[in-house]
Amino acid sequence: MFDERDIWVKFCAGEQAAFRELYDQYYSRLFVWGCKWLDGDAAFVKDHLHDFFIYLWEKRSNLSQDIQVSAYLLTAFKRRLIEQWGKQQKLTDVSSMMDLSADDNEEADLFDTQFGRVQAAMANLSPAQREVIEMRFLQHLSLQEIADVKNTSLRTVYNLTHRAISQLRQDVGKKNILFLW
Amino acid sequence: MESVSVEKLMAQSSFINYCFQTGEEDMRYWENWLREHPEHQQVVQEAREMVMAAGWLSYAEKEKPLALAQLDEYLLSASAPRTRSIRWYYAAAASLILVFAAAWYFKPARTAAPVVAARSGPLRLQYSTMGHARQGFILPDSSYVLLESNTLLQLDHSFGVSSRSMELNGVAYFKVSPDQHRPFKVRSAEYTVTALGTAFRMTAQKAALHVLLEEGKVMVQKETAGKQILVAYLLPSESLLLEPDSRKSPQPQQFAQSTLNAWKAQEIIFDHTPLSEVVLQLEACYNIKISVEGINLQQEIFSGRFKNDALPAVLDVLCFTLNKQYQFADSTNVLIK
Repeated sequence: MFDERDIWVKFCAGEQAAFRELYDQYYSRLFVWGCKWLDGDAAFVKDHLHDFFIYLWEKRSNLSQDIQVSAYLLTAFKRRLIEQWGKQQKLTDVSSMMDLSADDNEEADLFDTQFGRVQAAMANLSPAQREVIEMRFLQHLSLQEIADVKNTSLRTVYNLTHRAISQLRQDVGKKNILFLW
Repeated sequence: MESVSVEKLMAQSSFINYCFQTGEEDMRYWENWLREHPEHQQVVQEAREMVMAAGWLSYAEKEKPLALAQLDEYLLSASAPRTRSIRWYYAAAASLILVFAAAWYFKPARTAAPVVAARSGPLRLQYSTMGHARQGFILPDSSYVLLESNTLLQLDHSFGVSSRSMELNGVAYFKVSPDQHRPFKVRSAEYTVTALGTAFRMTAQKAALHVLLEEGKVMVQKETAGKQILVAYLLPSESLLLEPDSRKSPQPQQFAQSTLNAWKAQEIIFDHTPLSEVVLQLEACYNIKISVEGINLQQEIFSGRFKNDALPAVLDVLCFTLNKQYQFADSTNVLIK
């Protein structure tokens, strides 16, 4: 059972195992969160996510132990990411990218709930369904290209993709999808 | 399009291209379409968000194993300096328990000898680190194997006859002694890794297989319906991860050799080990060649335990106890005399 508060206290105390656990638990969540803010600049997010964790680890003795771990990580990463992105793009003012009117914690909480649902939905796909989803959404292959790679008929791929997408949608819940970022 | 739904949108590759902004023509098409059908704004937005979320999550999960390996490397390198002060104690302890023994005292059947499975039928040599720390062994063909704790390696009874086949359960690093006529094969479930003059690390756990190649070349095959199907050839610094219900065809990935070197040096234990084996093990763990002058390698045994130690620290202890000196002829050749 993952107890985030317990892990966080151990992380602040300098336990390497807690660091690894935190990294493991939050990697995908922060990755997707970062992509959302940088409009899918995944390579940039990837580099800075690792740096962010190292930065936290090096500053651990100055961190407050009594926090909402997930909301804290999401907010801290978002700020740092946007700052660095601004630096790289030589933007003098990134405040426009940070929606100052939104409540940070509320925004993070909402994302947490929704990310949890998408993650669970993806985990529920069968390996074959997951493979077509990846080919479609990650490698951007067309149905015909997938059929060629898998050495099967276009019809089979179509059915498989259709089922995978329906299930994904069903699991996440139509209502909630509407409010996803 | 008579009716518009998230499913229908997502099933069109032009729409996916629009979401990921990969095809100019498709992007233009959907932007125009949206302008003409503003009533579908919401459903398009929904489908787009769905696609992006699933895509980014897939990306994240693909990157995660490498990122974790990067973290492990960072943690290893970050923790190394902190143990520096302790190292002296290890050194002192190791030198105290070093034992010199005459040849008559040393018996071939050492504590580190493989266990011969006491079963009826053909004999199988087996090497086990179940319930204890990692340990290095020299196989009958003089290949070197380093077994992580809780690992079991069983040689086939035909080992050394026409091939060198064995079964692995756990984590092992192999430095294979060259033999063109007897291929070196390590099996795990339906997978076979064949070494072609090689050093590699292999993890076989819970039906998943992970191979990291240090030097030479290996071939990975999978048995399907009685046939051996080629999965991949690995080149140095490439790794391959095979999971039982993998969603994609496995692709070799690059890894940093320093990760593997750090793993090898994590813990090196010698327990009444003949000096000849000590030399082989150090050569394998630090990628060096050691020449020894003026000592009979078979007549002396050494005990010591090293944790994340740099090569000079290990050589200091070894040479102190042997009452010898070492020097680096170059970065990979060490002379002890």
